[in-house]
Amino acid sequence: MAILREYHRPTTLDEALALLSRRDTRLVPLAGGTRLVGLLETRALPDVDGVVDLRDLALATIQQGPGWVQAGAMVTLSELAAHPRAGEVAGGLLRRAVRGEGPVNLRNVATVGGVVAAAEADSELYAALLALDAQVLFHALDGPTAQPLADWTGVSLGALVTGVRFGLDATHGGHARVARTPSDRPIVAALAVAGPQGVRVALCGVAARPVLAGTPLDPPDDYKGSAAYRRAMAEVVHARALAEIGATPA
Amino acid sequence: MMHITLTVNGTHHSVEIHPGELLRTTLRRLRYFSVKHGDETGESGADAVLLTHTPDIATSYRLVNSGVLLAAQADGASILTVEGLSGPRDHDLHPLQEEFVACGAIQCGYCTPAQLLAAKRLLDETSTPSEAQVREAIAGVLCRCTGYLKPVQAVLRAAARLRGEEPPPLPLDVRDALPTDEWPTGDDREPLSPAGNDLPGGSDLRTRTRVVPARVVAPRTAVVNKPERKVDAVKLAKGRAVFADDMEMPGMLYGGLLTSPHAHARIVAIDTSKARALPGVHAVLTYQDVPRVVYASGGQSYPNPPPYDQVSLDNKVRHVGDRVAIVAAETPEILQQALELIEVQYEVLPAVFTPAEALAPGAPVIHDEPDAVGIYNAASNIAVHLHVNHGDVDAAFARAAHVYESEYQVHQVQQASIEPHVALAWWDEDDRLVIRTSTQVPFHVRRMVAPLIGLPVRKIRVVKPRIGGGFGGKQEMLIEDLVAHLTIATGRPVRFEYTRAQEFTSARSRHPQTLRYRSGVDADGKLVGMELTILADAGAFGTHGLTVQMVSGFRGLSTYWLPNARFTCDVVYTNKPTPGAFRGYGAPQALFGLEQHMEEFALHIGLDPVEFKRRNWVKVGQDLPMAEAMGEGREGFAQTVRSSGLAECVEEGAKAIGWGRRNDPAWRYDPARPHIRRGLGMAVCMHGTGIAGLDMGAASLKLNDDGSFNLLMGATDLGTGSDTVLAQIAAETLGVDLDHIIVYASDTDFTPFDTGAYASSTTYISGGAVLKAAEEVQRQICVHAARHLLPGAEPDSLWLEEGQVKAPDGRAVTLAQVALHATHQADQHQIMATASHMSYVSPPPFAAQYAEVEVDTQTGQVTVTKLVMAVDCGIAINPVTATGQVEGGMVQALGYAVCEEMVYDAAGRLVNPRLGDYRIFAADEVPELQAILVQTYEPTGPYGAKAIAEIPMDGVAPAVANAIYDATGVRLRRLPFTPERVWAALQAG
Repeated sequence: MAILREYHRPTTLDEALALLSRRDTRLVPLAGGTRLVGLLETRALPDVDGVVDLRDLALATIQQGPGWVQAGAMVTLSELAAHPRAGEVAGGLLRRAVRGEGPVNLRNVATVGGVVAAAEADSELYAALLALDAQVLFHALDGPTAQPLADWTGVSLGALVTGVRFGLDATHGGHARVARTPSDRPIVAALAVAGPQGVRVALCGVAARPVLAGTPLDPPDDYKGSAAYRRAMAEVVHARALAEIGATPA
Repeated sequence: MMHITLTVNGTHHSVEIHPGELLRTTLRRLRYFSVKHGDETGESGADAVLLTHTPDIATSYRLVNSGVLLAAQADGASILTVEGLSGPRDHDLHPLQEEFVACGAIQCGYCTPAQLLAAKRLLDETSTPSEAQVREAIAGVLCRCTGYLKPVQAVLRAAARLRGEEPPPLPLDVRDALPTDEWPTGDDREPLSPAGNDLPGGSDLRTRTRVVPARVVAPRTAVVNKPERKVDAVKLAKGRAVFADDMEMPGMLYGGLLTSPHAHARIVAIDTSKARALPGVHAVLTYQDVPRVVYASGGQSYPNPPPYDQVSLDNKVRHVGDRVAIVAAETPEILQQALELIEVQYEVLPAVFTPAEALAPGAPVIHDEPDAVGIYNAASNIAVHLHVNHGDVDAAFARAAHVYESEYQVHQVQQASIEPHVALAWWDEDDRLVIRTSTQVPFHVRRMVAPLIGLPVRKIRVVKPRIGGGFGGKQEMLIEDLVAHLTIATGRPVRFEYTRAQEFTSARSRHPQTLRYRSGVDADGKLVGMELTILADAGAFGTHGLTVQMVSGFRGLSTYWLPNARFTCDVVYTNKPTPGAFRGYGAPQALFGLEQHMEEFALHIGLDPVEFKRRNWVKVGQDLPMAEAMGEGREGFAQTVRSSGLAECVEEGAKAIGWGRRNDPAWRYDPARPHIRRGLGMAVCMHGTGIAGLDMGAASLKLNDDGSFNLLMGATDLGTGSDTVLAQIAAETLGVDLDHIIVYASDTDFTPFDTGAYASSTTYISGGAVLKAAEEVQRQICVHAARHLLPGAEPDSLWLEEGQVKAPDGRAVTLAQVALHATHQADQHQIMATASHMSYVSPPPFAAQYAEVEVDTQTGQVTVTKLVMAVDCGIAINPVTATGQVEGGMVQALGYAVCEEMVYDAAGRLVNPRLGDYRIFAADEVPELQAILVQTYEPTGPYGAKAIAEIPMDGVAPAVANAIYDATGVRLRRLPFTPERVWAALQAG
């Protein structure tokens, strides 16, 4: 049972950041809520006093320019996948990757910003964005900035993820996964893209958050898969994702 | 508090809400009860609604889970719930609702509203959806009953109707096991009855075995054996307020449970003062506040099988999730705060998590309380010890040509009905306590709760409304004592519901076991003896521990005919959440071992496994020697098999799965995917039909003015369709259409007794009672008609058909005429009868389960691509509900085989107490399913019926194991077949 004292729906980013910086009360940003509301309802975050709903911050649009797409943090996963440019990039890789985030009733609410901010270890969409060399856009009190998702280590206090931006030059996508059942979240998955910039592969299920292939792995060790199994599977799915785009392991 | 506006189904609402309130909570407060609580984390999807912030754009509605959306987030939104899908009357049905009803897509109906909305959204988008699109559209709404086949059919057919096409007839695969089985001629008008020799008042409990004419003619039936629509389908399709929680009472309080964070601890002190001081808290109860009465919580017949090792609230906790304290408060928020304000001081004790640890010398004693009754050896943590012997196994092994031994491990899984345990209790105007509860056993609950709350049975009424699935999890007096304690303490109505996490940690599950089979054959490959040794994990309490394991022994040692057999079993306490009844009830465990053991043995001695099984499986005319020794916690009764379509099931199933492909390398290896191996596996299944000499159901039938009948019965429909099946039996016997039977069931004040919905008993046992009552009413009608309305006719020459009493000379009167005459004009009396039924025989249904798998040899991932089950359930009273049982059961059983597992950390905390991490199958990932009904005629069953409810749970895991072996040559003797486990086995070679 969620017990909140406050609900805010600011209309400007500065207002939102001011709320999130308050010391007298612990407020957390609320995007779609598919993850956060469950955590609140099960009292996994018992110290949260309230939420700052990002709905009215005009972050729910997809913009595009020459060779790039920028998805606002509040764009839902369904909207991202349905977008003609975003959905088609790398042979439709994002359309495939969002399926790992949950069924359509969750994808209709879960947001791009939420997936990036949560950075869950087994997020295939996050891995796909890594493979696409996406930039994460965020807004701090001193203004907007951007950073390659690959370099990013998480939202710093007093900042908000406002969107992601990625290029559209990737022409092929590869996706391979191991899971308990066909629609389950993956134990380990690889997402690969190929284009004029070359080949990039990202893995999920092999570290605390999804990583680019080549990064040292630090796999979780749990009931879905031991660390040793995940290491072994990383190689298998990596090779398969590459094979799908016609590349071979380095 | 804050203020929002919502437009729901076109109605504008202005609502005060808490900042943390869920949209689901708000919608239910607004009495949109079709929006269901399945979990707290958005994975069940039972609370999905269609929502938009731009209602002017009709296509902008999106399916969203209202349980992971704050009401505040929905401020200003327009919402569609199932209440808005069609008008209020029964005949107002959206084509989707119409097809869900017609296809049998609705079992318990708890997830139906969300499924309908998901489907509506899809059909608004496309008029020609593919099956894959339908499956993806409803994948976020989990269903534990149907296996999704019929819901998908319904959506595709509704799409066709919306396009103006007439959908094809319903696909139903019903075959008769001809010519080996014997049908009644249907010509002699002799009732096809298990009854016979009824005493006046119908209290006769004997079972008569009819001699079945050898001539093979299908019985003539008008209602039975027909795909009638479920009697409760329309109200479920319309999302009416029919479940336990779908009501509000003035002054109702919210009850909740504080659970133990420790696996084993003594409560040194509890300070409830802060919780009590919180405004809005009306009761905080601990072990100091309620009487200490020992009991066994399993919902079973009197006297309940031992051990009696529980009390309502104790000063010791024995697993994480065990009961500590209960609270009643004015709002769910206050309830939660109060639970968190209770200060408990624990003395943490050493804990044990496996039977081996629990049996080790010096292990902590889990039940050291002096007042527990009937524990086999409390000091050694042995709850139950079983030893059953038939013949001389050792001598048989000494003479055997070959002896083979193998060991298997089965794990703990949870029933995961989408509706959690929920109960409401209140004092009625006569100062009697009413408990409206989601239970499979209302009469057991009334009897069992009475001593715990200090009320006589006559002061308690238990009502079972529609319930959102049970699967054994609700064959338990689980929360009714707690809600009653809170109502008694506060004088107010109290609603008490488990969270999903509590469903996993504080409800029941399936017993884990280690099974060792040892058997011997003679030179002809005939079994000469078999020994089964089981070490079972009882968890913290012994409920169902005796009887589940007894069934494991019985199933393990009865499917194949054995001249000598021995069963030894220890059921051992551990500090884990408690197993109990779960569909299959010991049989899935036993058959996982047996059906691999038999195959391994066959290969060991160079026989074809199917041929080896065929030589040995139990056949018509054979007795079941273990039945007499192994009853339900007491002595059993001799059993002889009188009907079996097993041979035909094996043949039909083999055809459907393409068994010959086992030998086709082109099929087994896919050149495009060299890491994939394909394989086929099968398992033979045999179950029971009710508990012989114990289960009893009773029913009353009453004739109304218009020739309709009230059918009042204790039988407990938990979504399976048993109300419908039983009404069909009554309608057939009374010669009326199904809509002339008005069903009211499972209310201890208004219906006669029934043991409840378990042990695959309802069609056979409760159906026997309905048949007897109907025959007696039929007799009364014929007597009255002959005496007053059809002068000169002999009552025995009359029959009921098409709503009339008919005479051989062509005369007829309507049932309405008889009813009005008997009520008002002469010999005035109520035409009515009550009958009970109990059976000393439990005729086994048989089945052949087939599985087709793909094994990824690089990752260990097993993908089951097709499941076929051919089942002999006797005559299927309703082929649609029967195949629904098979399809849904197979998918549950598939979860048991490949993904579902309760996993603990080193401290005994469940690490995956939510539906996504636990993983039950979704609509877009289930394999192709095929249910084939191979009908035989069971002479002791109503209209030839046997059971079907549990047998679909029994064979999938061993069939998949055998298929993996067929594909890879690797034998998996431990469940579940998760990728890493299979990978490790493949690596080991």
